[in-house]
Amino acid sequence: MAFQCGDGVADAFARDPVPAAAGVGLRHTHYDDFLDGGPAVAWIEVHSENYLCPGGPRLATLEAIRHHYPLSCHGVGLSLGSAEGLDAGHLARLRSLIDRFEPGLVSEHVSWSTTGGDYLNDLLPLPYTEEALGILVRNIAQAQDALGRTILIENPSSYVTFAESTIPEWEFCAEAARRSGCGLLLDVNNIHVSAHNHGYDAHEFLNAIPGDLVGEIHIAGHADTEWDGRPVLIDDHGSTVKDAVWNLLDAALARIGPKPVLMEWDLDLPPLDTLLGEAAKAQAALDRLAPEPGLLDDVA
Amino acid sequence: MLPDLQAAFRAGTIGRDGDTVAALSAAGMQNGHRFGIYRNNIFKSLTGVLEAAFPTIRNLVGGENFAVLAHRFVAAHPPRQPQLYAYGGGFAEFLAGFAPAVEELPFLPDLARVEWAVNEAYFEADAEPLAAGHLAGLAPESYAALRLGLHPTVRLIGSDWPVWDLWGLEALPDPWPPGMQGGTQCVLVRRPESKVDVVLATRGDFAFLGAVEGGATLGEAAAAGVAADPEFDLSACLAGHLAGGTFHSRIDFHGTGDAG
Repeated sequence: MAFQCGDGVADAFARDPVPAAAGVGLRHTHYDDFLDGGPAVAWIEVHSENYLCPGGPRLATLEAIRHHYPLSCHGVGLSLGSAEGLDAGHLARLRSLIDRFEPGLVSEHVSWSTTGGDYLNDLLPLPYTEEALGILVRNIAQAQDALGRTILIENPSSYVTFAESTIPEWEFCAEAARRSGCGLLLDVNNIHVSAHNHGYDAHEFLNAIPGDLVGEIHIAGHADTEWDGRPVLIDDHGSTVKDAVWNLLDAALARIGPKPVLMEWDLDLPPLDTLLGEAAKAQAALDRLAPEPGLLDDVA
Repeated sequence: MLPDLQAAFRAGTIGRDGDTVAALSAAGMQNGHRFGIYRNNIFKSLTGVLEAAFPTIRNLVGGENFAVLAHRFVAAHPPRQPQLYAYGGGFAEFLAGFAPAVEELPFLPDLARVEWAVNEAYFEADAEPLAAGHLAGLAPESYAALRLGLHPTVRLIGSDWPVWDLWGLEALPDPWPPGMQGGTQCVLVRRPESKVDVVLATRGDFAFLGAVEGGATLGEAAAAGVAADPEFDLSACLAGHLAGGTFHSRIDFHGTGDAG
C-alpha cells in the first residue's frame, strides 16, 4: 500500500509502546539487517533529523522496518535551550514524522545548537541558571504543544561548565521536567562523562533523579582521551560500554525499576553482532532485577 | 545572559574568534581549554556531512584538501536548519568563488552541481513517473500542444567540462583519456523509484528537457531540441525518457483537445 501522510489516510501504525527492555539505535549501515525484522531486539531508536526529508529510500526503509519494531524518535536538532526560541518549521516537520511513524517515545536534549539561526551541529552546554531554566521550560512547552504529546529530555554530557550556574545539573533537569510536564531520558553514560569531567559524584546525580519521571535510559561508549594535554572523557558513542557505565546502569535500574534501555552507537559503527551483544548485556541487567511484587501476585 | 553566551559560543566555534573563548573564560566558563572540543566536533561532523554529499570531489581533491574546503565553507555558510541531508546546497557556488581550487580544477563547481543533484534527487518527494500508457488515448496530432512536466527528482546540469565522465571517479585520470580532453557534457539526474540515475544526455535531449521544464509544449520543446542538435529525434527522445521515468505522471491536457 502506498503510504500517504497528512491526507486524512488512516494511520498505518498504532502507537505501540516502547517496552521496558533493551533496544538499539538504527543506523543506515544496518538497514539491510533490520528490513525483515530479523535482529531480536525489543525496539529501535532513530535520530529524527535523519528522516525529515520529503521522500526517498531512507523513509521507505524506515517504514518497512517500523512494521517489525516499536520505535523511539530521538531528536538532536530542536535546540531546546536556545534563547531565541524554537524553529516552527522544524517543529512542523517533526510533527509530520511523528504522525506518520507513531513512535512510542519522542525525546530531545537539555542543550542547545542554534543561535542567530545558525545550526552548530553539536549538543552545546547550558549554564544552569533560573534564566536558562525558564527558557528551556518555555521551549519544551512549545514543543509539546506543537508535537501534540509529551517528550523526554536527556541529561547532556559536557566539557565546560559556567561559574554563573546556580543549580546542580540533576536539579536543573528534574525541575525542567516538573515545570513543563515532560519526562526524563536518563543517559547514564552522560552522567559518567560529565561527573568525571567536572568532578562530581555520578551517584549523587543518580540519587537525585525522580525515578517516576524517567521514561527511558541511554547507554553508550565514550573515549578516555586527552585534550590540550589534559585527560578528558569524550562522549563519542564510538565503542562498547565501559564497566563504570554498566555499574551506573545497574544502580539506576535498582533505584528506579525497569525502563526501556537503549544502546547508542554513532561513530565507527561495529558489525551488527557487536551492537546486539551490548543490547543483550543491557537486557541481562534488566532481567537481573527482582520481579515486582505485583507481578508475582498476579501469577499466584 | 543566555543570548550573549550563545552568540559568544558561535563566534568562538565557527567564527574561530579566539578572543571570544578568552572572554567566555573570563566571564566564568570553567575548563575553557576544552572549548576546542566543541569547535572540533562541529567542524568534523559537518565535514563528514559534506564528504557524504560530495564523495567524488572528496576523492578527486583528497581528504586533506577537502577538509580545508569544508572548513572554509562551514565557517562562511553554517547550516541554517538541523536536517543535514539538506546541507551543502551552496557548496558548488562556494567552490566557484574559491580561486585556489578552480584555478587547478576548473570543473569542480559543475561536478559539485552533479553531486548535489544526486543528493537532492535521493531525498526529493516520491512521485509516479509518466508511462507510455498514460499517453495511449492521445491522438497523434495532439502531441505538439501537450505540456509534460518533469519528475520532481529530475535535475539538469550542463557543463563545459566532462562532468559525467568525472562523476564517480576515485582519482583524477592521469593522463586524461582522449575522450575526456574537452567538450561539454549535459547530465540528467533522476530518481523515478528508489535508485538515482545519472545519465549523459545529448545536446538535443538536454535542450528539449530544459524547454519542457520551462513550460514549453512538446512542439516548442522539440524545436529547441532541433536547434541544439540537428539530429534530434523527438520520438526516440520521448520513448527513451518515458522508459527512464523522466516525466511526471501528472499531465496538463489543457489545450490538447483530449479529455485525458
